[in-house]
Amino acid sequence: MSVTTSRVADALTDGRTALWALVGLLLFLLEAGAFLNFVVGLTIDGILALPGVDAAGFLTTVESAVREIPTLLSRETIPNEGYYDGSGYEGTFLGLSPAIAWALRATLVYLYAFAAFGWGVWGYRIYRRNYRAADWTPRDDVFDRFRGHKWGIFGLVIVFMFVTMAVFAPALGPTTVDQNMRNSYGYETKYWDSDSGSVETILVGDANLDSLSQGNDQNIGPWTYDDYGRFHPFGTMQDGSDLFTFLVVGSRISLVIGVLSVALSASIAATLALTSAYYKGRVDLSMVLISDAVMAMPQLLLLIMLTTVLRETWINEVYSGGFLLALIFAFTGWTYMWRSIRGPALQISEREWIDAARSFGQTPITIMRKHMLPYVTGYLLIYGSMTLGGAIISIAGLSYLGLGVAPPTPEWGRAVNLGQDYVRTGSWHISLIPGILITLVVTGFNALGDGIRDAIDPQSDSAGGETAGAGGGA
Amino acid sequence: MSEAEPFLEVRDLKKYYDDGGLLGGDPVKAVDGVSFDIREGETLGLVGESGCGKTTLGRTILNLETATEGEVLADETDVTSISGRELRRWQSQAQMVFQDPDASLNDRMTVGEIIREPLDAHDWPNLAVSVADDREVAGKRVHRAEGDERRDVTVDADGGVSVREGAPLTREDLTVDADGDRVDVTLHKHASAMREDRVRGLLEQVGLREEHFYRYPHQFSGGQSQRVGIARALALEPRFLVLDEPVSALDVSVQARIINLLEDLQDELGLTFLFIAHDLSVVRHIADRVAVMYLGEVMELGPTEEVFTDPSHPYTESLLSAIPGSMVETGERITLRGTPPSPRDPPSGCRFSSRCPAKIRPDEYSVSGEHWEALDQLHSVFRARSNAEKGIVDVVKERLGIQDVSTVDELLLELFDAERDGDGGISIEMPDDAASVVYEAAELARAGDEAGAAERLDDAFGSVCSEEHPEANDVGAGRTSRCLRHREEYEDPDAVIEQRYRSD
Ligand code: SF4
Repeated sequence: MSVTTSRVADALTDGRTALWALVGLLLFLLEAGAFLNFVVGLTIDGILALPGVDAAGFLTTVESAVREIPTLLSRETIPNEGYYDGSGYEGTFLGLSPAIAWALRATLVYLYAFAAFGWGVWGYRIYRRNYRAADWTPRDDVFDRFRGHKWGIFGLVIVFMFVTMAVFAPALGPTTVDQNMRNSYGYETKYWDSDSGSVETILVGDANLDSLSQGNDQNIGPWTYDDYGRFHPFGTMQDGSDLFTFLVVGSRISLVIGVLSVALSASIAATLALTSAYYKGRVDLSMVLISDAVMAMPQLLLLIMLTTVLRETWINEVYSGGFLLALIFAFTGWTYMWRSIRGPALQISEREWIDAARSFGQTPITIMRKHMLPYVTGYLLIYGSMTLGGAIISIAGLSYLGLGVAPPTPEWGRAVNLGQDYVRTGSWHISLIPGILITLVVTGFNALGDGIRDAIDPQSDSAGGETAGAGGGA
Repeated sequence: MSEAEPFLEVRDLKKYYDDGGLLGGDPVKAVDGVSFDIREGETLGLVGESGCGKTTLGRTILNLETATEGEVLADETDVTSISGRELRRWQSQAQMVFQDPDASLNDRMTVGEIIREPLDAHDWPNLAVSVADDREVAGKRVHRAEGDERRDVTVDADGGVSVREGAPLTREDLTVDADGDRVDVTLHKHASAMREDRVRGLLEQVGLREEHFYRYPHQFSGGQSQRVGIARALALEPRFLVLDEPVSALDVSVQARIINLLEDLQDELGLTFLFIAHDLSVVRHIADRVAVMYLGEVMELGPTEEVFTDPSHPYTESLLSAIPGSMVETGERITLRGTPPSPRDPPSGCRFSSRCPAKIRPDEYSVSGEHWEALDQLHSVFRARSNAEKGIVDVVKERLGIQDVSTVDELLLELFDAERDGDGGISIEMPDDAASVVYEAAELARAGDEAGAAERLDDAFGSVCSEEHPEANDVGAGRTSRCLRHREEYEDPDAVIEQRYRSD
């Protein structure tokens, strides 16, 4: 205890570490409101989920108090929704035009995200140089190799931007899903009517009806204003709602389903691979049989079947059916990952240090965790990253087919579907932009996987490429 | 030292690997009926060619492999059939040092973590407290010392407390309350601090430095890595170490230092070693007694110096003379022909009969020495082939009677240094009666019946060596040797080899 205290004291008196901590505090304070909001919101959700509790009275007060804390990167601090009153902009940040105000906010969000990332890397460096007891670890080499891997870095940047988009989705959109799509007749917007020369008020729903993108005659393209002075970075959708808002919010569900399904299948795959590699023989054989059986099931048919069968059940309610989707992906997807890591796991299980650990009576679980898992984690990351790309394609593909994530929850694949009829018209953006984004993100995940692989095992060529689209079957 | 109590008694130990699976083929007899004692504090060397089962023997003794049959007795417990607490106790008493330090150390862990792992796994320490009267000992990480267990803490009748030198804590780190009807011991030093101290102590003990604690195996030379392996083996304060070729992966210059370290540790800690090696000179240096293994059996066993200067068993003699310029002063090398037969199907009778330079020959044929050897080899080849797994093509060929005539012929030409005669046949320079047997066998082999061919050769040229399995004979001075020639009616192996190979 005293050791840690004195180390903290040491750290704070050391100039660079103190500076680092200070910068971290600053970064946190900028977003403290959002963070607390998130925590309190989650707590309230959790409490409400408990049976018998209906009012989290006290916490609601806390929540509204927390809401008041100013947050740098919020639509309240840098608003972009305002109107022209004939002489200048009312309600936007510093009276800037909505486009500039929005662009400023989006840029700040990304600057903040990269700053936070850089802060993390900086901290790791300080720790590595000044605080870690070992002056070299095998992981250092992996990090150093990855730093020199341009393709991998490219992947990391894309993936990081995607994750940022998902995390900051509410702050990034020029408007909100609730205002613009779900409940558009519950909100009003003001605009400058040049005919009457005065500021008028209109329901958002009605404004949307005048902002449709449905081909050449009626179109609000990317980076334009509609008739009500609202700015649309990616244009509007066929129903007049904002495409950019739809996409940023849609990135959340893709990411959550993707990460959840990959994490689930990776843990299933790792557990099974380690067990079968450790015990070999019959255990291994039975796993091969099970995975073959699961693999033999047609994934797409299974998905269609299960989503239909479970449509009416509670499980399909969770996260607009996203949770169910993640479960199905995990259940059908672990076999591929298990296939890929079974080889490395078997190889590791032959190493002599496993025998050494057995000779002093280490338990099988600990042997698997300590002496085998670290060697398999790298492969899990590689295949996990690649499968994540595949999962995102699959989710989009399913929404495109009208399955999967239930409307109206935004999902990229549905945007592609909705814009399909207008691809050859002026409203090409509805399909094309999400299509390009999907391609970019999937490429990013694959590039990241490639980078990790080369960093872990510099000898390997791009031989593992065939697994890239493994999850993309649907 | 030679009269010390046996620490370990190995009795008729067998380890078969039954990987024949669906085919239910013969098991691999890696260890096939081995018996010997290892005495307290001695080093028993175990030598033999690779694949003779010496490593498997070591691993079976440590319960890393499940014995097929037989027992290994330590303190009257059969350690091959224990489990649970007893097994853990044995594991803390008997440890292994592996051949290749790079392979046996997890390279994602620091040296400190590696050496500490056994301590964590056994929740070390559990201090033995000896109390003068028969009161109970209570407290965390302490137990009442039993039997001849080493005492870590001693509580005198008058309440005085002493702590063993080298224990992981000092007198100040514990309080003893001996007033009540039991003795309460409270430790003030955290287990992880004790473990850390122990690891640092071990690093020093094996000749490494404190700053190596946070290094990774990659940053070490082979010799240093092996020191880490030794430290890990010593962590739980074992009494017995199986050293599985601990220096054979190291540079010659480093080998001596590791050997010296092992000897020092043995003296210091009173360890008993089973030293497995194929390098005979290392064994001669370190071992008190040596056991020579061949195809899963101990062929000869005895005090090192005697065995090395005056080997009893033909195999030992061949093994020793295979090392140029060493051991058997008398002379020329007797080459060990070929490779050992498969342990899946060892020769009948004496295991060594297919390669033995002193093999007993039947009297009725007057064949030259070289040709006897050629006959033995021909026999082994036929036997090996008859047991080899055959591809589908071979089987079809065999059914159709299309055997590769050339291979059998070439074998004869090469082994017997024979020549083709005018019409393409082969004639061997050998008395007719013997030659005709060879021709018959060759004919069978050409027809694809290699088993028959081997049998034909065995019928004619086999002897008691290929029929009777020799027992371990007592050849005096605490030595045993597994050879039929130690019987009254036969000449001694030594004399035969002398006469056959060194007479001219
Ligand atoms: S019994 Fe003795 S002489 Fe006969 S083959 Fe075996 S070792 Fe050689």
